[in-house]
Amino acid sequence: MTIAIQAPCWAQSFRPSVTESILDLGHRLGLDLLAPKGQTCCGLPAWEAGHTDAAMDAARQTLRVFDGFGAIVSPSPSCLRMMREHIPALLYDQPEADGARSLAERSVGWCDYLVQEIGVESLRLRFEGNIAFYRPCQQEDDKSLRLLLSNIQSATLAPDLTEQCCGFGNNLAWRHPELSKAIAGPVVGAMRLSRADLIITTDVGCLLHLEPLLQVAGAPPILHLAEFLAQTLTAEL
Amino acid sequence: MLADNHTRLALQRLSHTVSRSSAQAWAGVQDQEAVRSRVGWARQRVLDQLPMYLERLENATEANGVQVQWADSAQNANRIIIEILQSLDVKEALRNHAPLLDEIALDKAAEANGIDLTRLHPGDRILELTNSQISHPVWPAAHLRIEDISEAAREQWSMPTTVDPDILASAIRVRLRRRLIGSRTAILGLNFAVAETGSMVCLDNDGHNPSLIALARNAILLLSVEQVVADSEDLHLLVEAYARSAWGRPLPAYVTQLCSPSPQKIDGPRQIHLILVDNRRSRILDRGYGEALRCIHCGACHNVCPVYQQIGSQGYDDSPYSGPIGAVINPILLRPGLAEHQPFLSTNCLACGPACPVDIDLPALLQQHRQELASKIASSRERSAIRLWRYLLRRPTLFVNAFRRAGRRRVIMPRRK
Repeated sequence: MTIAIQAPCWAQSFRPSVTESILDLGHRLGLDLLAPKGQTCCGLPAWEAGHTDAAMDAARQTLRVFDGFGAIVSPSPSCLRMMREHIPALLYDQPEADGARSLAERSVGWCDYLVQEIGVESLRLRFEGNIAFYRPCQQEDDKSLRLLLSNIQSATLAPDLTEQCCGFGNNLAWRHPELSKAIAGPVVGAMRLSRADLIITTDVGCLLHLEPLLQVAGAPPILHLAEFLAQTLTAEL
Repeated sequence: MLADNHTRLALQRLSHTVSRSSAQAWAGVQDQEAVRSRVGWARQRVLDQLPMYLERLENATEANGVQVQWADSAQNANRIIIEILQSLDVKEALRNHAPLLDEIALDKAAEANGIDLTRLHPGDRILELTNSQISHPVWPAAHLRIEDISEAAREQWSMPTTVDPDILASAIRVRLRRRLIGSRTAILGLNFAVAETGSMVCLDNDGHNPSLIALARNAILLLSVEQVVADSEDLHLLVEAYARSAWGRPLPAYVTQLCSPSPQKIDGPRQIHLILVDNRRSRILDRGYGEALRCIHCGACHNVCPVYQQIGSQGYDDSPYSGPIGAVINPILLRPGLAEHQPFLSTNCLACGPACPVDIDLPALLQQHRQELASKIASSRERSAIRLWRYLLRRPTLFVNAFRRAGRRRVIMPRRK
């Protein structure tokens, strides 16, 4: 059965390489993956701002887009939380309630899916250098992610940078841009002082918020896990 | 909106240190999650039957010889305090460090009525000395540099300049003790009062509460109604939880319990007044935010909040409460206008929920505010953005193009080069 990729709105508009990398990896690993057409937004920004009606519109659009697919893999923990927790709660008394529950059950983190379906042993990953992982606040479980990272040949894992939020927070970034940027300060500082050659994260929001700040600070580059894996997966599979 | 650079650094450092020692203190607890939910229940059970527990408390305290009065508002609480002071013919009083006393703006009321009110908490005294504002509920002067304190002490007390915190602390304590010995009246905001026994409790780490209670002839004690505790077992749990979360210690350095006046003895007040203050707490319950009244003001949510650490207490519009809990209760406690701003001071990082020792789902309560208010208070710019967004939801190509354009015009993300 074809697996649907959820393409976060931030990624579609500003970082298409995230979805492209997932598709590319999927083809190389022999997975039947597809990014369904018609995707716009899961509704999280409207939900967080309190605009329930608008968030419900987005939830319904999300249900329509993913109707008929088995699993839905999401590369972004915040979108995943929206689909798993908030959409069923938003639509619980609507005609779409069953569909929303089904969406929640079918939605899974892309990395979790990869580790479960393919298994880390059969993934040949190689990277020369020191990698640091930045854990987004919305990331629920990072077991499979850490398993994956520890399976990369020649790479060393830096100690965790910081547990602190990067400050993006969807709404905060446009309501109070200065505040949002200031919150990133300590995170960027920790990344600059780390000896990592590369920082990996999973949430597209954190990635887009941090990247320009890291560049200005002369800190290591940051990549989405999917982009990193697509570059790192060795050819001889 | 942002606090100054020094304050931001100081609050980050403080938050980090206290969170770490608090995590250590909680790590010593067996079955932490079960204890947290038990502590949360200790608070919730009184909120569920608040009138009953308050009646029990009133009966128990009156039976112990305490004079009890009720104040529905801040103005009435202050009026009762001033009337008591006038009936005692007192012109001087000392107060402790308590958020409730700041909430009702006791200092202003005292000044307006010619009462000389001194704050006995060293942190509060430092704020007065340096003429600065509170930055953290438990550590009020955390943002001040030792050099700033020394400079103020040099100007006002002709003290030699020093960077030794012990010397400055003793200088402050010596002055406060002089006031303490000369004073006869204490006004204290309580942490808890036990319905079963009528015992009234203050917690602190520097000993200003026991000093006040030991030396005062008259004690005026204030309790915000939700801080009533069912029985001694619950009190024990709450005191421990407070110490772990506020100070990162297994127990507070000082637990002051006061039950009854002691007319014959040398120590302790001859007269005790208890004022039970509602000041819109019933509205918090009625509006469906009752869970927030579990709060014991330990500051744990402040210590994990990335927004608070950048704006400090002052970023919450001079409200008496700050941090995530402040953003939930201030709009109902003070004025609805605050809801337009404070519940949006959040990155949705969800850190405050698990940090709370009394199990308040702070992220959910902030979200509840935003959902109730967004449609009412959104600016016309926000409204049109949402309308456009809804229109674009079913038009993917246009959606992506519009998003990119908004990104280039820096409407949706703070892009900078």
